[in-house]
Amino acid sequence: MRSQKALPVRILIKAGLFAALFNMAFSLLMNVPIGSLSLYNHLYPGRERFPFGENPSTSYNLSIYNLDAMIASHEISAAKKEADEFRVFIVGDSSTWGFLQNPGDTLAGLLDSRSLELNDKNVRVYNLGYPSLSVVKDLMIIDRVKQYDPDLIIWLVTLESLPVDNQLETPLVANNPILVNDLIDRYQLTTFEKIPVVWKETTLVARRRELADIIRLQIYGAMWAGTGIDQDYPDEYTPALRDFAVDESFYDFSPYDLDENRLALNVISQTVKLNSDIQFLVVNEPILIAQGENSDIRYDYYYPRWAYDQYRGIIQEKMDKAGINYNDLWDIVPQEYFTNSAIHMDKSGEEILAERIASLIIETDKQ
Amino acid sequence: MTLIHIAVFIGFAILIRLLRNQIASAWLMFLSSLIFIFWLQPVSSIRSLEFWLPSILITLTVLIWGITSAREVFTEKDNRLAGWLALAVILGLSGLRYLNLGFLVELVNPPVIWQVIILILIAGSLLWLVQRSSSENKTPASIAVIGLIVVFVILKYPPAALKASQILRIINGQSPKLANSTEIAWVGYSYFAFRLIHVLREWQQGRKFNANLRDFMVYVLFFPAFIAGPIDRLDHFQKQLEQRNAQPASEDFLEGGRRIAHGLFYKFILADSLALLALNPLSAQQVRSTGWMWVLVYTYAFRLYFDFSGYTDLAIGISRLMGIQLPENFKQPYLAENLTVFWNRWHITLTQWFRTYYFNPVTRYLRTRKQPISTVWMIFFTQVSTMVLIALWHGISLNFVLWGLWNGLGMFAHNRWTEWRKQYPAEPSKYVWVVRAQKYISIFMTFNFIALGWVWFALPDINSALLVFSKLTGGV
Repeated sequence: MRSQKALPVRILIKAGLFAALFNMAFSLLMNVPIGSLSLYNHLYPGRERFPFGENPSTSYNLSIYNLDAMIASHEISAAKKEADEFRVFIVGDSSTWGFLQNPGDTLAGLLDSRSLELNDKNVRVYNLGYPSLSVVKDLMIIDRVKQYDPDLIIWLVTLESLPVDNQLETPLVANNPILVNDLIDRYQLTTFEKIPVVWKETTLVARRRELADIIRLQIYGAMWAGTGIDQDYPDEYTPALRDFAVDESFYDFSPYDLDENRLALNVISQTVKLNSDIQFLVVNEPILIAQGENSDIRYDYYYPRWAYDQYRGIIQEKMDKAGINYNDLWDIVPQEYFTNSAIHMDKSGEEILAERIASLIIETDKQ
Repeated sequence: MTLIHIAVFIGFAILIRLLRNQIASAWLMFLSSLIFIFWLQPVSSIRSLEFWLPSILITLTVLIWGITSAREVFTEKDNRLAGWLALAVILGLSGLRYLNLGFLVELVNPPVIWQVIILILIAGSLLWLVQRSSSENKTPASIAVIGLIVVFVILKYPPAALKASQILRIINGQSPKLANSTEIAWVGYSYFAFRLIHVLREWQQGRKFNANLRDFMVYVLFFPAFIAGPIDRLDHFQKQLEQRNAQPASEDFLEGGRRIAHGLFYKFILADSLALLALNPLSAQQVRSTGWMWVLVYTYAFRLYFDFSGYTDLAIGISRLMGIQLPENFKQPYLAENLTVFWNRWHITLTQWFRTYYFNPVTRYLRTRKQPISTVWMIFFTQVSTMVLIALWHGISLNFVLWGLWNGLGMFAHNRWTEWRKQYPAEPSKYVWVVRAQKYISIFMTFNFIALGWVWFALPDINSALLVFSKLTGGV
């Protein structure tokens, strides 16, 4: 009787001990790429772009911060490269990812559908954009996907993705401190301080949300396979602002002097330099050039004219100096083709951009 | 019921079980049940509805206890104490309005005190009338049964619920234009009403219950089973209350803990995960292949089972922590070899309720009436109408009627098939594999029939359901 009474307490103590041990073991094994275990590309097809979604129940997609899981769910992780394939990766922000666009109507989708040929090879284009504005985030992706043997990486950037202060703030970066710290070391990104890694944040309890998200991503894969839907397409959206207040501010930069030392341009140059076996094409992506109230002061919601004009000059000079293939396509898309933000375009806008980038891909042959 | 609800319920259940003073333990169970129904009631856009609905449940419970009890027990010490405590809970919670207690006020959202006093005066007057009436008078019980059913119909029939919502808004001085049919979400009413109808019908048939007011209120408003059942019988529950310390607490904690763990796994891991890809009105339109449509339908079937069965496990487990054994509600229903067995294993207490208070009396009536109908027609009518009524318990709309017909006709067809087979008796095969194959084929067919029936249940729009059936048969 005595031992029977003690049983629930003994069970609780044992359960507590097992939980503690399991958490410690999990923490020690945290570098094991659990996210690589995926049903995508096995039970159902890989996604045509990275998982991202703010409304999972209608988009059958969700934002996760485990890079292994993101890549494992993407078609690129299972795409066997044929001998006659010229493999192109497109990296960038939400514009590249394709906000409000079907996978086939994104820049990558439109380029891929053109069936371009280069040096008797078939150009196959993959969408590796991810919706947040940070070139360190882009570097994280490039560094990880280069194992899939790209011949050319087209990297779309804009001023908003360059302020140094913002680089480590984006969730994908902030939630991957070990990965980012390693990049800071290997790419000698001395402008950034390493993100502190706290032991308790590596335990199973602390990472329960991440693990749950990985499982949810696998489940939503069935809906992706069954419906082909990976984004919430609202019937209506709020269009990007065209009229502005008299406001010349750009973050805390002093007006009329865009300090180039506070732009993370070294991330681009170091990435290109340390991956010299891959061709890079850096593109200053199209922005909305509004023609509304006070548009003589601001191009759009993001940019006062003075800051953006100076940025164009600075990046051109830096890319030229580093010998990087750089193209400034900032103004090729008319303002009516922009949707809900100053960088998101509709299919017509994407077509214009795709047309120009297609010709740039063909030109890489001559360089 | 959220994880926070469950954690608090577990804590209270353990406390109730561990209290050495049995009287204090019983009163704590009583007070917990009364207070927790306010906590479980979601916030409504109709002003103070989250206060009124649980208050009305408490009031009705007291009145129906009064109707079904001997008049002389009204003044017994324990019953008076229970009544005063119930009153204190309602008044105490309404008094929150006048205290600066932040989230608690938002949670209960009490109205001005004079409105509460009017409710109490009405309830007190009704109780006084009940006390003055003869305990042989069955009319109050009949009125109560009808009243419970009328409210049930209003809640379950969307146009009526909309009208009720508009009226409540007008009474509250809110815009009736903003009313919708789902804003009167009266948590636990379906189970509450069926427990009380059970008591009233049994009492009308001459059964005497001797539950005091405290135990009666615990039976009706028992917090672990308040939201999702099971629907226990009063006599069984009362026996459990009396014997709840018969087993060592350690044994109850072990078994209760096991059921809670099981329920948490079913509800929050399996059901909630499957919910992400279970059939719903949106996915019914979007799925573009036959194979994936089948996946969604099967997923819905399992999601429903794990969700409901998980909640039942939690109710049974938390009750067991207090030493109370609630009846089982699910017994591996998807392994049933035919529809009749399935409905003996799925939501068992609801099916038993309908069998006791509808199927059996109607069958008895049809058998004994002066102009008897054929057995086949009798079976047809009773099975189909029982299943339609069970369906309407979930909601009064065409899709539920079709779901009820689907199951009723299925059961009738199975009944006829069984009768027909009796004409050609055959020895069971001497080969074990043949017997096993027959069993597995039966399980497979039964499961698929049930799973396809859930399409009606899941989709309020009939055209969507037809589209799903079309896609399931290759029409993508």
